[in-house]
Amino acid sequence: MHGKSILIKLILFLLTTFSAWPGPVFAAGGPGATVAILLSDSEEAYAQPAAAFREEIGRPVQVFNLHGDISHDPGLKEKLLADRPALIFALGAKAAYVAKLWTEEQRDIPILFAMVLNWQRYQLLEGRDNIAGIAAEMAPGTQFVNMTMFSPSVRRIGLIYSPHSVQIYEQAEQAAALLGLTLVAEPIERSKEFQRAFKKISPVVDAFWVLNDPVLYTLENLDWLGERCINQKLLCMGQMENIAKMGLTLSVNPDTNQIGAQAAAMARNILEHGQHPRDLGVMDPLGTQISVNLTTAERIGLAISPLALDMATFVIGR
Amino acid sequence: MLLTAVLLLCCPRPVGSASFSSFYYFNPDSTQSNLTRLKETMDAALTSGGLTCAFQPFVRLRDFEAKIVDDPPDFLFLPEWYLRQDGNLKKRFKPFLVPVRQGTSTYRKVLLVAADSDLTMEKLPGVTIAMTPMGQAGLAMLNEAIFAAHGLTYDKLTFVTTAKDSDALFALALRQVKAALVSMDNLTYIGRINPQIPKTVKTLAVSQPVPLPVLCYAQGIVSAEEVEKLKSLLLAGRQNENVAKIMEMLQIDAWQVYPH
Repeated sequence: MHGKSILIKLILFLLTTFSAWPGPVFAAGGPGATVAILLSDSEEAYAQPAAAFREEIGRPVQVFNLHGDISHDPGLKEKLLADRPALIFALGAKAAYVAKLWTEEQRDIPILFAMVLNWQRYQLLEGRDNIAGIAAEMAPGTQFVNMTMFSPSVRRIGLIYSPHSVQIYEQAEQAAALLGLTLVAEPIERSKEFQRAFKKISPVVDAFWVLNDPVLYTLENLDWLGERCINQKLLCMGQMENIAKMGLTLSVNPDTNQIGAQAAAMARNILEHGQHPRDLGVMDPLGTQISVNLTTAERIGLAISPLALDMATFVIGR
Repeated sequence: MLLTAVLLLCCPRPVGSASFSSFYYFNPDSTQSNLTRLKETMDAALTSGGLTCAFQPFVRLRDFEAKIVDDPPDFLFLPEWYLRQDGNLKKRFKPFLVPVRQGTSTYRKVLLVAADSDLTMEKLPGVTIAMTPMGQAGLAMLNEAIFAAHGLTYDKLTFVTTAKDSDALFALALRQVKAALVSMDNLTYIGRINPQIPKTVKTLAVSQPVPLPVLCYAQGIVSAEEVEKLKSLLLAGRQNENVAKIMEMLQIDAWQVYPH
């Protein structure tokens, strides 16, 4: 009887103790504890955010490089984990995936990833709560809100998407609703359907948003789109800086330098303020670079307010 | 080397010397993102005022910090809190002009949350707040200007920095963050372009007045004549077409002599 009572007390103790257990504590190491940067390879695209992170984190940083291949240096995992980093900042899909793999047994090391295109594809958060990150793509809402700064009368935005970009379409619909805008979307399967889809939706929209979807946006389609937007006096906006250089009116893309600074702020919040990576999740990149093609704006009769023009990072033409 | 340093400090560069002087600009609370246009206009204004001065704007705090250490400028336009933060800089650079906006040389910061948020100041710790970088002295200033009145200090709060106020505001409007701390002037400015944006947010707290950025010169390096030239040029204000453009771009109504 006595033994049974002890057993019940023990079970109750375990239940009350661990049911409220918040998971690993991530305020690992003191203020000076080293943070590791893990690079997928030596691509130039990673250099800026890595440098920005290093300068803003305020802690010693060690850089490790996969050089594009996990087998390039078989001892890299041991080197990275030897001093037990307070946090791992992984740049690129390979680094993010490998960081997750290598910390399988050390889940109290928080991981932040960035510069991972289409991060959902890699299931980085699945089964783990020590991982947070910054999406590589600019959120549709950020695109739309900036679009309305340059053309406040925009209410209906046109979008053509393929099965590859269904998720972005869904995000775009939510963001449009939040901003009081209407999304007029047309799904297509192949790039040759693009022109037909555009002709269908363009009469009922005020602006058109170009997705980063290589299936749909062939050079031929982009050239055609540029001309059609000018003929129909339609504001056309894309996610890459090149879009405005190629002749479309506006582009809003992430400021890669700012991604490093944002990651450093998130890392400090984890290490110094006890924020949990699970609660941070995957943030949208907050820093924007805006390019405006004034020549195209004039050709479509868009009078951009000088106040809005001052918000542009790059102005092309005039 | 020591002799050279002493000579540099004691003998200001003569006016009209062949070397270009440098003018650094760092103003994270400005809505002006088109720094190429700002540089072109400022260079033209300086030339029209007879100054051979190269204007260099900075977007990022760390680039600015690195440059003022590696290659100190002759003139410096920077947030007032930055001078407070860096005692050495404060000794080397003397403020001489300050901008005036709507009759005052101060501005206010507003702490915003989403229009439908039930967040209160008490619930703020643990919530991510987007804002432009402030540095330690800037954050200390925010304690005095906004947080202390609510029993908070910046070290209890979690921030994520954006290069521009508009990015912080838009992140809040899109619910990417729970709160944003931006300049009240910029909120008004964005509302003038698109009145829908301010409607998506509401004000949780307003700061005490915060000094606008100040214009300084390097003491012992820049001659009194050079300082006077720049002072006259800017105080003349809108009489000079390029200065008028600069003032419009930076939302400055006038310049006034820094009160010592």
